[in-house]
Amino acid sequence: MNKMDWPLYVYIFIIFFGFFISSPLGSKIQFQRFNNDQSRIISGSIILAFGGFLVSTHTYFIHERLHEIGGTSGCSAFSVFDCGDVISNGDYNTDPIFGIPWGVLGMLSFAAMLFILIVLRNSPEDPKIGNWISVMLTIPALGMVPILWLIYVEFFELGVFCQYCTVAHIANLFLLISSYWVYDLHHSGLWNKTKNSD
Amino acid sequence: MKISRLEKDINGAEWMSAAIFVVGLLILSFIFVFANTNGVKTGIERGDMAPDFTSLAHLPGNDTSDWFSYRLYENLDFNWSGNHSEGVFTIIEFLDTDCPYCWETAHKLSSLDSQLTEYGVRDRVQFVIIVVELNIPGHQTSQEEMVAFQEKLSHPGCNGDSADCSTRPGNVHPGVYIDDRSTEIFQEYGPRGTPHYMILKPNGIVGWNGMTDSSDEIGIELANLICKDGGDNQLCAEVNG
Repeated sequence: MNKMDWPLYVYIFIIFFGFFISSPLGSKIQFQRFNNDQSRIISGSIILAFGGFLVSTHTYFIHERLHEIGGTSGCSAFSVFDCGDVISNGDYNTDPIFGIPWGVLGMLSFAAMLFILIVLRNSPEDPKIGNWISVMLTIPALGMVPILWLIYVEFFELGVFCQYCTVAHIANLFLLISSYWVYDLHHSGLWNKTKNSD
Repeated sequence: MKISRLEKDINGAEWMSAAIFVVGLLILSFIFVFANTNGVKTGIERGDMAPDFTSLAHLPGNDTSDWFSYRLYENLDFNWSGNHSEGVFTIIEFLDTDCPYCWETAHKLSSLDSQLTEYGVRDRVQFVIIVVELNIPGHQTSQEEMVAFQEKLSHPGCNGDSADCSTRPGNVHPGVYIDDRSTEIFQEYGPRGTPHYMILKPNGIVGWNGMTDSSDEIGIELANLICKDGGDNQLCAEVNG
């Protein structure tokens, strides 16, 4: 990585900051905007999902840029090193069923998470909120399947890692954990049905 | 608990703002990506990006068993300025040492090499000859046969096993010979057969897809490409009048 990878550092900061806020560690810091754990976890998760969305968009951007030069040589041009070997590899850079670039799938997944999180934040009184929380937990859980496969490919098939993809994978893992915290909060009966974070 | 229509509408409105935000974010992101990329596709048609490949390669003069790993993209210049008066153009030919048409036109590259040398622009061109083994009876190729075809060495079995490789038309072929007996590169590029000629610009964009070059235009097309933006050499002086 070098100075041209500065967006990656921004994404890493956003993702870890969001996860920190939503984690129990975040409760030790007094944020005036958060009246309770529910507000804090959801707000932190929104920041986290936004960071995941950004890094997925960047991954898709690299995918498209690498198509301009047609193959596995984009690394030096964009200073992403091994991302060129991973993202531009025609055998692994799209999902095997529909052929959608992984970056686009990441964008859609994180956008869906953002949507649900904003709904949770704005409409905690919704009678079907439990369904939304279940869906929110399911999306990153399902996302772990292709992520584990991609990690396997990076490790054993390609022997290289794409740092942008890895950050997106970490964001998904963090979202899975924070979604579980929301799920746990809801099922523990501590769910606050009043809008409280503004 | 029964929810009134009004409550449903209120909840819907809350969702609507989230939906508008997320959809807006998606649209903006896609606009950003599409606005900053132009998506040149890979292929062999003019304007396409030639696909990358890595394979074993042999240079004339090296020992018959001296093959090394060659990657096309490591021999291109992705930072090429676009000025045709500079940079190295790549001539690619797909051939099969047992293909009679490849045999008959085998003089083409060596005579082109001589002409480029005469005009003082030899350093502006590199040759990449990709040797395939087409799935045709009698088309069996070995690395020894490839080297013999490249360097005109004595080896029985060229031209459908009917000729000694040393008797093929033309002189020693310039540039690298690529071992593609598996036809992986051939299938990736997708030419209709052999011989197949192409000229790549220094950044790997296909400048000319000559297929079998039955009209023998490769020299003219190469000269037009090299001299498109002028050039201080005898060739461009003649081409540009």
